[in-house]
Amino acid sequence: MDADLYVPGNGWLHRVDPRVKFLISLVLLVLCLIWRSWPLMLAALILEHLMLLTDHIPWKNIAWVWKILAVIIVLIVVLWPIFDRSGTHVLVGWGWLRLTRENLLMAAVMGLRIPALGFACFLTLFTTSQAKLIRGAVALGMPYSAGLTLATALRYIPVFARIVTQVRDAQRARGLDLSGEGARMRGIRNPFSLMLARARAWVPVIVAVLIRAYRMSRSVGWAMESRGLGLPGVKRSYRVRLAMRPADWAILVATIVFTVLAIAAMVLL
Amino acid sequence: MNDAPIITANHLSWWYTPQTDEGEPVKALNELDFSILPGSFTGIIGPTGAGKSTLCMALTGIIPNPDDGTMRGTMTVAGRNTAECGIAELSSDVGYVQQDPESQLFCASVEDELAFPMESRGVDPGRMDERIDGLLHLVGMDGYRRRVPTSLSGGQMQRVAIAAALACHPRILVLDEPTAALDPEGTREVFQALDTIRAARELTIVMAQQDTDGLARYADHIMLLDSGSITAFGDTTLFTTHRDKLIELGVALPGRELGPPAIVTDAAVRTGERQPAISFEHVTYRYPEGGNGSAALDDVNLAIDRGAFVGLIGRNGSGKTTLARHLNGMLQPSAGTVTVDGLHVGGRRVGEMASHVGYAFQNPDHQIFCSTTREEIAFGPLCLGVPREEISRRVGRLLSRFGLEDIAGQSPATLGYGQRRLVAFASVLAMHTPILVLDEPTAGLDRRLSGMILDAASQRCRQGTTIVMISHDMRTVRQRCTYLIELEDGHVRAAGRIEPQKNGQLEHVQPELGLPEPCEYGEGH
Repeated sequence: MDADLYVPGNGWLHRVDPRVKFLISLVLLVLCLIWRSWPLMLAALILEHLMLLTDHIPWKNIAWVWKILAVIIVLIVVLWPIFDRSGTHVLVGWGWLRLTRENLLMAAVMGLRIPALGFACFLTLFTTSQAKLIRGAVALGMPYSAGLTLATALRYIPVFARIVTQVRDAQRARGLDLSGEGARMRGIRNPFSLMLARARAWVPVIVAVLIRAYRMSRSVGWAMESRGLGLPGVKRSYRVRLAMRPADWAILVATIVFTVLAIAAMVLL
Repeated sequence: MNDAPIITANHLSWWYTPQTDEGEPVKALNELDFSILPGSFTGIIGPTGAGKSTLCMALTGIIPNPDDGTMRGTMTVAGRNTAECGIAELSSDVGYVQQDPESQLFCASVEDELAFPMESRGVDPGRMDERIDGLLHLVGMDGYRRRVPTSLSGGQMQRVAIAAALACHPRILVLDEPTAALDPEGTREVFQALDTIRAARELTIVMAQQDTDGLARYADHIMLLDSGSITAFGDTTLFTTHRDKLIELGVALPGRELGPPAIVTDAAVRTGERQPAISFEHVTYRYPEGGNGSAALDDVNLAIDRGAFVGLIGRNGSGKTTLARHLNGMLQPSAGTVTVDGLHVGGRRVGEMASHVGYAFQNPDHQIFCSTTREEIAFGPLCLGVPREEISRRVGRLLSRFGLEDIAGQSPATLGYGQRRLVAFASVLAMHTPILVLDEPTAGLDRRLSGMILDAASQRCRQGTTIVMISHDMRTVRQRCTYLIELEDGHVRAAGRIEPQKNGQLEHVQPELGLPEPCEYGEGH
C-alpha cells in the first residue's frame, strides 16, 4: 500500500455510482454498530468480502486491511472481558478477573465489529477513484472544498504512513530505542512505566513527522492554488460526470429493501 | 519575441517574519530590479540560501499573500501586481513547479492531475480528454494517463507536474529546483521536455537551479543571486565572465557530463587481508509489498576494507538505498549474510547497530525534532550512552566546525534548508561511528556547503572511518571516493578500487569549497 487506497480496476463495484456505494457503506456501518449478534456481524463481514472479491480486489489489499486492524482487534478482544464484568454465567472467577459467557460473546462481537466496520468503509475506498469520490460527495450536497479535503486526506494516508516509517528509521539509526529494551536495561520492570517509556520514546518521531507534514501540507496548498483552486468568479466544472445506470438503480433498491428487512427483523425477532 | 517585459521587479525586497519572539526579521530579497522578456528562459542560480526559492514564490504570488512577511517594492507579472491578486488569479498566467514531486501531485491519477486546473477554470468537460492527451504528448508521457503519480519515476513525476502547470496555457512557467531530487537521466528528461514545449509554443521560463549544466545548455539568461541581491544578470557567457565569483560563492560551474570513474578490479572492493568493514555474501532482498516481484538486491557479494570511501552509484531504483539500509539493519536480507564492523547484522535491531553505523539521510526533516540545534546534535550520542562531558565536547567542536555556534540555541526546524542539512549531518557525525553512510550528501546544496560536509567525511575517512556515499554526482565521486560500487537492477554491475591515475585527469572539475580543515578531534575516536 505505497500509492493510494483506491485499487484501479473495472469490477462491478467500481462501476457502481459513488452515491450508491456511499449508501451501501453507510447502511453496513449503521447496522454493524447496532447489531449485537456475532452471527449477523460475521454474515456482514462475509458479505463485504464477497463483494470485494467478486469485484476482483486482490487478496493482498484485503490482507492489508486485516493487518492494520489486527492490533485493535486483538486489544479489544483481550481487554473487553477484563473490563466488562457483566453476565451471569461465570466461567472463570480469579480475583478481579471475571470471565462470563456473556462478556466473552460480547468480546467476539466486538472483535468482528471492528473489521466489519472497516471493510464497510473499504467497499467504497478501494473501488472509488479520488475524482469520483469528490464528485459523488459534491453531488450529495457536500461543499467542493470539504470533498477535496476529505479526498486529499485519504490520498495522503499512505504517504504519511511512509513518512512515519522514514522518520522512525532515521531516529532509530541515531540510536533511538523504540522497543522498550533500553528501559528494561535501565531496570524498569513495571509494565505501566515500561509502556510510558515506550510512548515517550516516540516523541522524536511524532515531532519530526509533524514538522514534515506541516511543510508538505503547505506545499500541497500552494500547488492547488497555483492550479486555480479558489479562482474567484468561476463555476467549477467536473471531468467525471455521474449518471445512474439501470444497474445502479437496481442496486440502490436492493440496498433499501435489505435495510428495511434487516431493521424489521431486529424489531420483530 | 515581444520587447515589453512580461516580468518586472522594481526595488523588490522581502523580509520573513521571525519564527521566534526574540528573533529578527530575515531579509531574503534585497532591492531587486530586473525585467524578463516574454519567451525567454531565465535560470536563477546562487548559493544555498541566496533567495532563489523566495524569488520563485514572489513570481507565483505565494509571496506576499499568505506567507508571513513584509514586502517593499513591486513585482509585476503578466501585467498584474502580485501584491494585489491571489495565487489562483495569478495562476492564469503563471504555472508553478516545485522541487518535491510528491507535494505537488495530489491527485490519484495522472489524468486527474491534469484535469484539476481545467476544472478549476470551468473548462468544458467534453474538451478535457483531448487536452489531457495533448499535454501528455507534449511532455513525452503518452500512455501514462491512468497511472498513479507516485508509481512514476522522479523525472516522470516532474514532467506530469510541468504538464499540470501548463494545462491552462499560462504564459510563464516558474520552476523551483525541479531536478534536485532526480538522477541524471530524470534531469535530462525534464530539460528535454521543456525544450520540446518551447519549440511548440511561446513560453517564458524561469528556473531556479543549483545544478548549472542544463541551464548552460538551454537557458537564454542567467541571474546570479547572493544574499537576496542580484550579483550578475546576463546571457550564459556569465558562466565564463563571472567564473571566479561563481567559484567564490560555491555555485557549480557547468561542465561536460561525467561518467563513473574507471576501476582497477571487478572482483571486490578490497585491497588487504584484514577483516573487511562491510561484507555482503550472496545477499538477496525482495520488498514484501509494493515491489514488482523482482529482487531489489539479487545475489550481491561485496567486501569493503576499513577506511574506504565508497561511491555507491546507479540509477534511481537500482538498489542503492536498499543496499545501504542493510548496513544498519533497517532492512534484513531475504537471503544471504551481511557483516558490518565484525557483527552479523541479521536479527540485530537498528538501535543496536547505531553505535557502529551512522546514517545521514538526504532529507534533514526525517531527523530534526529537538528544540535547539545543540540538543539535536547531542541526541545521537545521548542515545548511545556517551558521557555528558564528552557529548558536550563533541557538540562544541561540531558547532564550531560547521559555523553553527550562533544558532546553537535556535530551533533547527526554523532554519533554512542548507543549515538544516548541516545540523542533521553534524548530529550523525557526533555519534563517532566506525562506518558512515551518506545518502546524496550534495543534492540540493551549493559547492560550499557540500564541500563542508564532504571535507568532514573525508577527514573521518582518513582517521579510519569507512564511508559509503550514495550519489548521482560523478564529480564528487571522482574527487572523493577511493572505491566504487555501481548497481544496476539490484545487481553489482561493477565494483573495485578507483584508478588513481584517472583522478589526475580531472583538472576541469571544479573543487568543492569546504572550509579549511580544523582538527575536529585530534585524538581520533
